[in-house]
Amino acid sequence: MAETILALRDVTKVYGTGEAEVTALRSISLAFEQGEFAAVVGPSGSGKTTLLNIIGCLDSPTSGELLWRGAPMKSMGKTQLAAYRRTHVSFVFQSYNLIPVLTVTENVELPLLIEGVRDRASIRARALEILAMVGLSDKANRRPTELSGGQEQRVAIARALVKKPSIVLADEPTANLDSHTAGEIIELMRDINAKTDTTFLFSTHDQRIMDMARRIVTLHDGQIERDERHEK
Amino acid sequence: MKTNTRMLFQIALRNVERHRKRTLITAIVLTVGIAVYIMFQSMLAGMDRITIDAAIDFDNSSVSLRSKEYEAHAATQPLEYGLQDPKSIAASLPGMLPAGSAWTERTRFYAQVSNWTDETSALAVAVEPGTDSAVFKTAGDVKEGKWGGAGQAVLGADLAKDLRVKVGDSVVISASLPDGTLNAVDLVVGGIADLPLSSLSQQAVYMTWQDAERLVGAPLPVTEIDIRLPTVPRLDSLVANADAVAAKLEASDCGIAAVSIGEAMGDYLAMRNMKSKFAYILVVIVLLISSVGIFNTILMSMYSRIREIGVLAAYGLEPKQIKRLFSLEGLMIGVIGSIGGMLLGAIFVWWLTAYGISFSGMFGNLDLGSLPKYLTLKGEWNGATFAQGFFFGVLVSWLASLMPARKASRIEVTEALRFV
Repeated sequence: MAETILALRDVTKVYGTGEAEVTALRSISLAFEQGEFAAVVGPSGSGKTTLLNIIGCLDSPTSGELLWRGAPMKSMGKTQLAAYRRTHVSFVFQSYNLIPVLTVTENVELPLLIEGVRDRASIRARALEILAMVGLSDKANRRPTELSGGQEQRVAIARALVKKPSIVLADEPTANLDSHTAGEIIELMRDINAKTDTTFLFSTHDQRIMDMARRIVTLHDGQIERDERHEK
Repeated sequence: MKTNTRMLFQIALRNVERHRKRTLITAIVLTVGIAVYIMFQSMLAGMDRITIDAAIDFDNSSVSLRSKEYEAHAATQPLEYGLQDPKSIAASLPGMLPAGSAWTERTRFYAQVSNWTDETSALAVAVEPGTDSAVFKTAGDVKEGKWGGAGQAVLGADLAKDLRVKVGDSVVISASLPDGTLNAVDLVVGGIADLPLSSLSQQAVYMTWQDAERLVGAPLPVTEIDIRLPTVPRLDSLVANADAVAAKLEASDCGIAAVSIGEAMGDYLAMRNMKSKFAYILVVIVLLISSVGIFNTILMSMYSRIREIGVLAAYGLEPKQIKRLFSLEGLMIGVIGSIGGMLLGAIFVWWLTAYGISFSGMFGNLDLGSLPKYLTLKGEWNGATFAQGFFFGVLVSWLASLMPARKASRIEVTEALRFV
């Protein structure tokens, strides 16, 4: 059995106070193993993004705790959480969020530079290697504005993978893409998941994408409605 | 440079480059501010220079040797306190002065000048025409007639105008002698000097040593030995050299007071500091205006890149590094604006030193005090002013960027990523 890398124990997230109070997550307990390829699904407002934000330490739970390889993360300060994100987690966003002033290669190098890797040559070699993996070697010196949406998302995936994270969190990664490109992107992520054993956790509305996931966690009103595993 | 810092530098530089127009407009405000500061300081230094030069060239010389008693009563120009042994003092000078120095004897005393109808007070100056021209430039400013003729007087232009006399007219010059008696001589107006210093133009009457002896008796006491030191480009050095020579001469124990140009123009030079402070206030005002522009630019840059901030933070960039990223951009705008300011300032200072601004006729007969009327205002190069301008520019830009940078570093990652 694979190692559990991340677990949520009775996590609740409440936004606002008084009449404006909204409970985004209610007593969520989940565990993810190394190498999982899981989708978080559910209608808008069901808490998908909040769940990913908490797992990625971009947001903190109101109650309950997050455990990274068994260690609780509740007491971590902002700097320690930033260090956790630098080392273990990567993100793929719905609208790609590439840095427009940097080239494709420089965008991919960014997480390694943020991590503090000093060897410029190895950073460049790793970025080019990962760009080859996502099929964008020929776009290495382009700026993001010169790419199509699908290509931009491939760069974002390359950026997410370059530092060999334990887990990649992708919030609606295909929402801005046509269905064909969306299928390609999910195919790419699944392929990388199989090759590198990196855990992928992504949120989606797209039934076709859901069908490609090996585990589907369905949220409704901030609660887990279903947690199903499929053999693909 | 650490990899992290290099990355921040790279992103900041690219952003500054990307928003070229915005960067340029902001930097131009800074450029103008710093250039104005450099120009203003150069003009002030130039103004000081021509004032001090005019004082040296026409009135005080670089160092003036007087008896201590005369110096104590200098306001009344007392003839009875002439130098004890001017010839031996002059003989000792070659060994004590730098090469290229020149000196001359002069005697000043108060007199009355009359055109036979009207009379006015005047400052009589007895000169040795030959040696005087090596120290003072008075002879060169005689526009009508000639300098140093026996039986002739050279009058300041305003004095001649006041007395309604021209070259060839006769004037009577009278003076009180040390014994209390009054004497007078009849001289012909030999020349009219268009002097740049109003006080001299309105009062000075130059005559030869022999004519002065006819007026006040022989031997004429020498009230001062005036020394011209070799000129140097920077005013501060000029004054410092004169001070050093004066100190050396006073220390030589010949019982004389050596009055340097720095001492003679002490009040004026003290005002220099005040003017300099005024220039600082000016630059602070201009830079404050610039800082509003820089603040606004960095704030706009921050708002247009909130999602980018979110991505960087999501990937683990710490708040202090985000702050550094935006303050680096402010710093870069500051460097661009400051370099521009130095270049623009340098062009102006070059023009001012090469061509200058002519004062001739600009103020008519207006009394400008110690500021010469007919001279050309030249600028002065001062590396310290350029360095100050650059330093102020960069510092202000950095300070102006701190608040938006801090704001950027405090944005919640989730809000930043949601920002549209």
